[in-house]
Amino acid sequence: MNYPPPYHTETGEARLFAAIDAIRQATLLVPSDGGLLVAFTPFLLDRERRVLRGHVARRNPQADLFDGREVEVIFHGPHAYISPQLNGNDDVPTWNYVNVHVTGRAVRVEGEAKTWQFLCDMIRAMEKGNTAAYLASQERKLRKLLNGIVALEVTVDRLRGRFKLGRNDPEPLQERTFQALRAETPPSLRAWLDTLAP
Amino acid sequence: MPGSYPPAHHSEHSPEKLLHLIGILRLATLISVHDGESSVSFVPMLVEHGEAPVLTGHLDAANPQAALLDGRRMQAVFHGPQAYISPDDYLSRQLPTWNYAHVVASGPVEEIPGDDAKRALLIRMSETFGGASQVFSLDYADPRMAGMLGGIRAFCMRVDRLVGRLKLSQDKNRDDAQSVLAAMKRKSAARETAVFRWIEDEEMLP
Repeated sequence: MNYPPPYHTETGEARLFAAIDAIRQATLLVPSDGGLLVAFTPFLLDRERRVLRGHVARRNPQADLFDGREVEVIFHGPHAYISPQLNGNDDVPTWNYVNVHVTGRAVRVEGEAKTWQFLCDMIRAMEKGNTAAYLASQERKLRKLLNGIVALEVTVDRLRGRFKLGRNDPEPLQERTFQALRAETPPSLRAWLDTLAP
Repeated sequence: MPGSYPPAHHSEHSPEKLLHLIGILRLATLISVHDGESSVSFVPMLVEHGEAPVLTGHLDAANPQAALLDGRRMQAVFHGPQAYISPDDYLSRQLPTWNYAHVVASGPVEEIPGDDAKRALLIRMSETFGGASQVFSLDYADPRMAGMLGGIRAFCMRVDRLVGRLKLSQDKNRDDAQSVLAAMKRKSAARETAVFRWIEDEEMLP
């Protein structure tokens, strides 16, 4: 059995890393005695060390479980319902989407200095323009946040892309379904999505 | 309860409200565990109207998760809009955060056997997701239908836990919460308009 089919699978690391950088917000799945715990939190990719850097609220039950156990991090990109109307009504409806799925070991980041560094790096990554003045003026307030969060790192051990973009379709249809997906893509992701155009 | 997670002001528990939101979001991330390994699929799911909340969907028969439709518990996460909230998005001085409107449903999942039931499900899904403007309709008699039915496994989840994870700056004052919601709208896909209307209709903000 071959699932997902190769035309729905992206294995190029550069493309998968670019998708992670664009999407950032992820669904973090951590196994616990009570089943998989689900949280929603953004991650920064450190390409050199091949780790994802993230954080959760300290009172999140996941926060006590970053002990090297294997976790899943799923980056949900855009998705769109693909109507048969795009293909002269001679097809079945489907859904197209772009997702990246990372499996790796989660380790808690110890020490205020490293957690502070993470927080500053995340703000720099998300804010366009100069954040130095903001970080300097708000440092006291931001440092108070450190009491409420736990930083973690996830090693990128397995990396899979589910790029369901109709790549097995004839070219004119690929273009139409891509535009349908693009219309359902948040503005901040459009420049990245265009790198995946047919 | 102090220290509970997720905090009460970010959680919604009304099944009626949440099933309506699931009906808008439609695409689920279906998560299961088998022998310590988790499987994740991306599938549209349909809200079935009955006495108890039931979600239905189908998987490619070749998907390894399709072998796990044996009554075990699974989680279905419906992702709504999400956006980075910059300090610039508030009216007052606030710290940056990420907001989102997601729903997590869980319960035992079983296979729906039989071609008739599968065919009826596909037709219900096509009619629901295509919307009023769709001229296309799935044809029972189309010979390709038989091939398709063999290639899928239909399933239902009897939902016994349902929580809306609505992080919408509800803990801020009304002006800030409204300003952040406006920023989320600007940063979201066109489809999410219906979710924002739901947030406003259900008066989720202060």
